[in-house]
Amino acid sequence: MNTTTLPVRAAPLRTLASTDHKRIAIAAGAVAFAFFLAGGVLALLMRSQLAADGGVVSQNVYDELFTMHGSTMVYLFMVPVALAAGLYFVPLQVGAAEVAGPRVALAGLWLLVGGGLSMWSGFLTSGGAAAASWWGFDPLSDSLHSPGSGMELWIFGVMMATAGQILWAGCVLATALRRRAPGMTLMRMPVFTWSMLVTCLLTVFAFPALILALALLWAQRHFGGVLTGGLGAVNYQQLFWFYGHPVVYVMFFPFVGMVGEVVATFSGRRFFGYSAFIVALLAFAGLSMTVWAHHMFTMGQVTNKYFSLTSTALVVPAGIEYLDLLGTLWRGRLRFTTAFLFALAFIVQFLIGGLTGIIVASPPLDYGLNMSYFVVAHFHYTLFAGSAFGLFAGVYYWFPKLTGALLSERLGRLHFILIAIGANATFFPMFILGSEGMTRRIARYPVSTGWQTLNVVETVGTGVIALSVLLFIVNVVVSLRSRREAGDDPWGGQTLEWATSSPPPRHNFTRLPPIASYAPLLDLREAREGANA
Amino acid sequence: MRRAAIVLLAWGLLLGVLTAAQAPFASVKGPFGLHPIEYIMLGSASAACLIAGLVVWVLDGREGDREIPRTVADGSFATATLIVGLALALVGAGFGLWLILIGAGIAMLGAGGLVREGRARRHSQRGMLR
Repeated sequence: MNTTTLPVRAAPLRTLASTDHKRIAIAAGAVAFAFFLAGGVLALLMRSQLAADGGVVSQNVYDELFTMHGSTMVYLFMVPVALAAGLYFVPLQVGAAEVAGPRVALAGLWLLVGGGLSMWSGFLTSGGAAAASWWGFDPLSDSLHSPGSGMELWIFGVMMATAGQILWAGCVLATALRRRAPGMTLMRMPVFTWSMLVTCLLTVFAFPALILALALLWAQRHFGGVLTGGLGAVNYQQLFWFYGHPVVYVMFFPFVGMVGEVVATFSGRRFFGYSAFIVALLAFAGLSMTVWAHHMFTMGQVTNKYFSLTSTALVVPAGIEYLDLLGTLWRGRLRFTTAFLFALAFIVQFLIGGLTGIIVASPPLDYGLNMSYFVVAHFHYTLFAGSAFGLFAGVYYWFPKLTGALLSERLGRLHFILIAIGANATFFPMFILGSEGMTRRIARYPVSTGWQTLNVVETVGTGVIALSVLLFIVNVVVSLRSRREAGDDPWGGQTLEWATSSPPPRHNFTRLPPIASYAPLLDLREAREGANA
Repeated sequence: MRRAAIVLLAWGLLLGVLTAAQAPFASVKGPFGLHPIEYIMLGSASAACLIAGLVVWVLDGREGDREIPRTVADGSFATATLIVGLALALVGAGFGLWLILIGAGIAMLGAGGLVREGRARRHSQRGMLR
């Protein structure tokens, strides 16, 4: 590809207006991480409330806390950080000099910033921030029950952040489909790129439903008569969950792709069952578009049998993906780096989240567990104990590529141990509490229930998670200051991003190696070893 | 490169099949039966994906594998300005006309900047092709 750089005049503001996909992705990652920290503080407040049995904040404030915690983690952290990873690495992995639509990607960054600021500025309004949960169901979110401007700011904020995510997904999708280097056929794309491709399909074709739902909600608040009568409120839920379940997989597929890369590299093996993995990903993504109404089983207004069937069918592609990950590990020359430890924990912990998902995919069981802490435990095992661990696997794996410096392995292992203990101490007791009948979103519970001990355990666990995140920040700061040089390929990577400098130049590559498979650098190493032998 | 469109076409087709797979459940009567919105949403996603696949198919057929010289500006303040303006105008929908007007003004500045950037890009491309 023939690419020329035009000079930019105002250098100090370069980062804010850069069209380099790597700068945009790093900025997006930093913004998302800042929101993760803010959302984490809200979680600490909620856990303090439940450990102290209702003595910290009022029910109204508690409503704001869980609404903004959930909204922040989904709209402003997990989805943006997943797409930011794609924005950085997909062009590199397919050998492209640039992302498709760099200005569009830049617009996505500013929409994320604007959306986040809008949502959080609700705390500055007299009525407080939005308090109608991260899904903002009508009529709880209408002008009668949520009259403050905090709800308005939440609606606009979520719309902006979501629009930005759709733009990013379009850029990454177009890059994977139309900007591949010569030789990089579809079936030679790395597993992470494939995982991002299906992620972007979900984002582009499911996320507009959320923008439509929120536009209707806004119209309902101002003019009325939009979501009222008949199935109005139910239709809002249909639209919301048409976004709301695919988004779960948008927060899963990129991390399973990251874990796939980490497992292959640190096993010293070619990824096992590549073709089956790709087919499973596409089928998984297709099925995940058809399961949204399992969130509405207990409403009695959806086709329960169909959605139960499709929800349960998800275990087939998920099983294939797990088999491929385990097959890659099998007889590998394992190197237990921090990234690899996080990847292993992802495999185990996400399994807990996935298996408990089968339970709530069954309508009769869901009738008993819906709105209980069992569901909270289930999705936190998928999103935090699963996806966040996958994310950290990716961070420890790719940090050297981003910065040219290695993270401290000693601090990394300590980070891993603490966060693994913290996550399981926080989320496992929720299964027990949910089974015993503790419902979601309650700021207080009777002492006679005997739930306080487990709630205290969870709160201590949350504190341990917070400590581990602090340790991670220390690790990043210390590693950047002391700078242990990583070189271009510190791990013996298999994919094209390791064939360029760390960090990569503006247009990514000065030259590309021959591409004959989905692991071109492994091909080169094997060819060299064969020649030496 | 035309194979790229196959991903979109195949996935759109899969969504279409999954939409049609709801039909056997139409016999379920009462509240647990089929609701039109369930067809409409999934069917719309399927149709949108198929259309996107067709567009990519046509574009790739037109461009083929020939190299297209691309000029990429290192930065675009106009894009950032446009989005900030649009964001303010959107929030203004909840807070009053004054904010919509401020946002629209900033967005127009950004749009003007984008036009200017586009001209510079075309000028640069012509230079490269000469």
